[in-house]
Amino acid sequence: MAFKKPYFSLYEIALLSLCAALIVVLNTTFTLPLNIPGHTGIYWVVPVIIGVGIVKKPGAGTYIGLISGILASLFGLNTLHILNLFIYLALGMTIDLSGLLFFYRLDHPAAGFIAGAAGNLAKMVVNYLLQSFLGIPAVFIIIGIGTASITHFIFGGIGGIIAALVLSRLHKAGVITPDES
Amino acid sequence: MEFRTRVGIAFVLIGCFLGGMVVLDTFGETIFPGTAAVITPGTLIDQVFTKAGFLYGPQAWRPGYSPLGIYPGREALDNETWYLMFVDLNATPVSGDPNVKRIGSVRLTYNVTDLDGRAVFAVYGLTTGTIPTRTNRQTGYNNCGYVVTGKGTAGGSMPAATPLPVSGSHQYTVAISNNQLADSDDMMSTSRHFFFNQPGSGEGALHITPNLAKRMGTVTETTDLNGTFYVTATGTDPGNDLLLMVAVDRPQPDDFALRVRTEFVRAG
Repeated sequence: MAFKKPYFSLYEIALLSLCAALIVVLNTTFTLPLNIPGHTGIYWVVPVIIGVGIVKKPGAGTYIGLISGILASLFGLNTLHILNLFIYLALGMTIDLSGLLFFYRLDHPAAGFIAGAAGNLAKMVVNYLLQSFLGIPAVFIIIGIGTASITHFIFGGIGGIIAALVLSRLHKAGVITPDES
Repeated sequence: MEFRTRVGIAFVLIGCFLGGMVVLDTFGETIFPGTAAVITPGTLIDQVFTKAGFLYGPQAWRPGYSPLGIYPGREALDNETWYLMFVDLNATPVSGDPNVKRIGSVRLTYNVTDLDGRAVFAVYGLTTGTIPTRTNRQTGYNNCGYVVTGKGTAGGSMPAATPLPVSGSHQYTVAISNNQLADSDDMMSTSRHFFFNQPGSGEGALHITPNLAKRMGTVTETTDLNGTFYVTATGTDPGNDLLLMVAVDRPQPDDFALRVRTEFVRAG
């Protein structure tokens, strides 16, 4: 009897799940006193980019987003509760697309920056869409949206560069190899 | 397509997106005009306070994670002696009834009699769980506040006031000075609890503005003893109860009186 080979191997599933859990852990343990919109993106995007950069398969980021979204909803990390899932999914899917766009060269700082910034901006957009869906008038949401976009871009980008540097070091140290990844 | 080309295109696309957001921020209120704000019938509180309502002071600060200054835009100055009063406004910027969420603002009308010196208005939004108490930003970008200056007769003392001790745990329990409260068990208590969990926490979630077109708040200084301002909120949780802090910078005369009325104004 022939078994269909699973899309993600056990090793990949374990790695992606750990990355997803790490997002939730970072969200609960890190409270940077910056009070700037999107500043949490500096550590939100790191596990997703590392996961996508190691596994290098379409859907890796989406899987991380799905698992971390479920965990965040269960732990009640945000006032949006179950709708958190969409925010985390948007972040993961965007980084997935960035991985595809850049041939999974997410260890390159420029690619990491764009992946992180795009992921953090996607998170912001979905958050605003959900707020709008929940009945908050558009005029309230767009107050300061320009500044919020720029800060999401910068912090997500910085997180992306951090992830790219980590990936690069892992490659150089031989912890992950091109074959394995 | 080469890697570098793709990086360049991605930067251009994100730049266009950011540009669009800045344009939306700048012209958003024209693109998405709200209908006229609607005042919900009914006054939420209407009460007159005397100088006996100032229960705290003399002190140079108001509650925050680190003691905040009182005059808008300034840090706490040791040589200042303010007297503080806290008033439960029986409203929040999301509703007149804290249990029913409707986006809007709280319109506060004040009438001051025989004010000597400056009176500063600030606000606190009380929250539940691990969410820190909200307040208007004291200093820096988007700070706001409302100051009324009067030339009343000089006062002698403020017998009801005692200084509020600085809290090492960043939590404060203050007594409120009003007696018109919502018909709810937890609102009948005469004390309210503030909780701050990190520097700057909760600051900037509430705003004070005399004009709803400037919802992010402004610093207003006026000599008009009768006026109106609005308390607005941004963010996901402005709190489930709103407290007004009134601070005067010197003892007030016996004839001092402050009438406070609040109404809920629905957003258009």
